[in-house]
Amino acid sequence: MSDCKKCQSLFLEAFYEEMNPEQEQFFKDHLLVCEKCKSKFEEMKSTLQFMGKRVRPEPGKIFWDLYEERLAQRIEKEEILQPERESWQKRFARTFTFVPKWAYQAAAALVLIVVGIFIGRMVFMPPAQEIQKASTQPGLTTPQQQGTALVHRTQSYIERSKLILLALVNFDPATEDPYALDLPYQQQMSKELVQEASYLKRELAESNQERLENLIIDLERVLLQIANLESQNDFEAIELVKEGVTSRGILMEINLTDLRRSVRRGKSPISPEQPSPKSQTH
Amino acid sequence: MYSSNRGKKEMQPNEQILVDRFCGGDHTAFHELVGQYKKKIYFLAYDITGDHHEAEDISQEVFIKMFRSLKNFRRDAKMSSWLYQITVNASIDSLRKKSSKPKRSIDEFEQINIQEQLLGGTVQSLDPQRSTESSQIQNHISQALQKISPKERTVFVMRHYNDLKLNEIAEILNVTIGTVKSLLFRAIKKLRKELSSYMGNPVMEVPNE
Repeated sequence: MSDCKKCQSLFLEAFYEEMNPEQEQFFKDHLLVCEKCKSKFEEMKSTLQFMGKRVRPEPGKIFWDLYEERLAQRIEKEEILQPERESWQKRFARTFTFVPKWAYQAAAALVLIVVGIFIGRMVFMPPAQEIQKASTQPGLTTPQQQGTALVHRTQSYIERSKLILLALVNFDPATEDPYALDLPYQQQMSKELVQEASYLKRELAESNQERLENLIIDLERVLLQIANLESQNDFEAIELVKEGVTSRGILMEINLTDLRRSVRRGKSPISPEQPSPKSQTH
Repeated sequence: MYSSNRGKKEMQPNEQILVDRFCGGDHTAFHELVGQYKKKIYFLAYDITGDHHEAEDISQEVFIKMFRSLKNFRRDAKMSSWLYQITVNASIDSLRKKSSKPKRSIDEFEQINIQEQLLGGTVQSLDPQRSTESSQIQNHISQALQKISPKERTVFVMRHYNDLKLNEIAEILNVTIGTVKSLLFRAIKKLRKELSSYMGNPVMEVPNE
């Protein structure tokens, strides 16, 4: 730092007499040899001296005599308000001091559980749209499932009817014992199947499964004939039933139905029976 | 604006006794402390704000804070620095709040008071022309002080009118002495410019700090 800069940095200390003896000596010596710094210092000094002419307005004796009284009043006023605030805080603190610690812990645990349940419901519950959709389908039977159940029942019906028909068709009175046919059992089963057919037909008609409906109608007729057989020795009547089965091609239709079903099962094992082309033309 | 100050100088022994007495429940000790500082605090607030009513209000706020905090007052801190610090912060806050309001160059109270003081019962000051001239100078000085920034004014009035040393100002404002000197140089330069008609000389070149 040059002497001028050093000297000028001491202007304030010089004016306000805050220099140490060493600084003072340097300052005096420099001003003796540097007119520029001396002039600058005089300028600053004159400004500060002019500012020293400022007269602070004195508030007066009365102001100062009453100052502490006014202060005391203000403190009193603010201290009156303060205890009210404190008493409210203390009251609040006191109320909660009597509550045992375990109550806070239990309350905190309860809050955590409620929050957990709420979060769980929010995260894991399926969207409302899906719930609404499920509620419109009572139980587990959707239209698709209902169709599949009908197909299974129809198949079961056909299987049971087929067994009766095969037993009857394959019976040869010339070579076989008539009791081996067990006609009473076959008749009983036929009666049950005829009763079942009345419901099944209606359901198949409703679901537009005409081919199966027709098969069931044919089976119903044959089974009714079997159920109405008077005696297991009435071979002529048995032969008429056998002819009816053969003439209507019922067993062939059953086999075709099985074939269609096995083909369809290769694509979709539980798909419902599609309406026949004939029914679609209606 | 200014962060809290950590006093480096201990309280004066008599102040320590007064604080101890107050902590012991003797409220007269508080009144003694108020008596000791009320003028210093009031005038510092007045010098910064330029408003008598504001200065009284600020000074009372400072003593209310002192009343509430005296029991927790650190013994290693200097009481005057602490009080000045509160005063400066309150005064600058007050200026900030009032910045949108129109400024008064000099209030009625000040005008009357200055004239009374200038008259002072002396023969010379009874000269009406001289009195008017002095009153004008006072008005111009007050206006010039209000034209410099609050920071510059604070530092200037602390040193020039409240007799606080440079290192004390730095301690109160929690800044370096270099910053204090820089603010002072800037304030003086601006004041000289504002009052150039009285100076009769071109604006001085203030040394760069």
